[in-house]
Amino acid sequence: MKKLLFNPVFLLVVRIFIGLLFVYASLDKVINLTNFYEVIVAYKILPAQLEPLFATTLPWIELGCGLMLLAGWRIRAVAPVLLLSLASFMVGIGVNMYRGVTMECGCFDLSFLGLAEPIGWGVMIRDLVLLVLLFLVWVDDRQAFSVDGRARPGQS
Amino acid sequence: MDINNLKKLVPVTEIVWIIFILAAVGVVVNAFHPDGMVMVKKATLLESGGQVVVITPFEGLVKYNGRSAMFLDARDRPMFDAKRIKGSYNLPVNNMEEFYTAWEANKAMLLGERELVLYCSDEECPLSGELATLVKKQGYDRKLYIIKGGIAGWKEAGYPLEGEKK
Repeated sequence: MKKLLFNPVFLLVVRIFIGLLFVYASLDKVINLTNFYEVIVAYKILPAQLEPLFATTLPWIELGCGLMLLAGWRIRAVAPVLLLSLASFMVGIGVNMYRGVTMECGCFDLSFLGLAEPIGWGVMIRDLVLLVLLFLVWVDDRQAFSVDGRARPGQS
Repeated sequence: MDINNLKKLVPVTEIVWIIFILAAVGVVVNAFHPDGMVMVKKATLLESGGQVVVITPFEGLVKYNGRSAMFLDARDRPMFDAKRIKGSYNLPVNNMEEFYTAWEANKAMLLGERELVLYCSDEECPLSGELATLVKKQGYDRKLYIIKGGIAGWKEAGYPLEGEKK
């Protein structure tokens, strides 16, 4: 099992998938700044004064880290940042589920598919799977097919 | 796991730099973005003893659409009758008799669960700040919001109005 999970090709696919996912998720937030702000406000987790700061900075952190993950550059630094971002959303979703709030997750823009994405166990499980996959990418020693891997002598 | 392995796995300095640089990009872009947010400093909190947060008309609209707030107009009655944010209440700070009558009539709602969003004519008018002080004096101890640009900013953004001359 461990061999399969840490297979370099598998981890490459996971890394590219998660990188693309974060880049895609952040693009909509970067362009439609106010939409993301609306989502942050609806979550009712942060103090009102922090909401604008969070809404303006998080999408750029996700975009930058997503691109770096795609390139495989500074994986050890960007993976925990993205893990933290995912975990913070899971906390937000969990708290609102506990409150019994029904609202849009605001995680990805799926409107072009005509899909809504309400918060719930489905979103939580999806995020948990992403969390585990991202964790594997983070702790992988070889980091094959990446800028980081190439920088190390004797590696691909 | 020894400390060197931990440092390798969690390069804290690198993480802090990455977050700092990318967050800075976000703040700079926000400053030039047409829908840029207002970052509220402590200095904007008024002397009324509690927090008063200045919000953009859009941020006001979020609260309006969410029906989570009561909108309070600090201007005089004729101005309120002519044009006001849809669904707002008039608490004219220049007419204390009218203010107290309106306060008493709506007290339960005003001190209820909804947030209070205050506004007056435009960016220059001081009435919203004065209303904030009065509302605090009535025992309201939570955060108050003031719409930057008042009703002029709200109208310019094309948000819902009502009244005789809207």
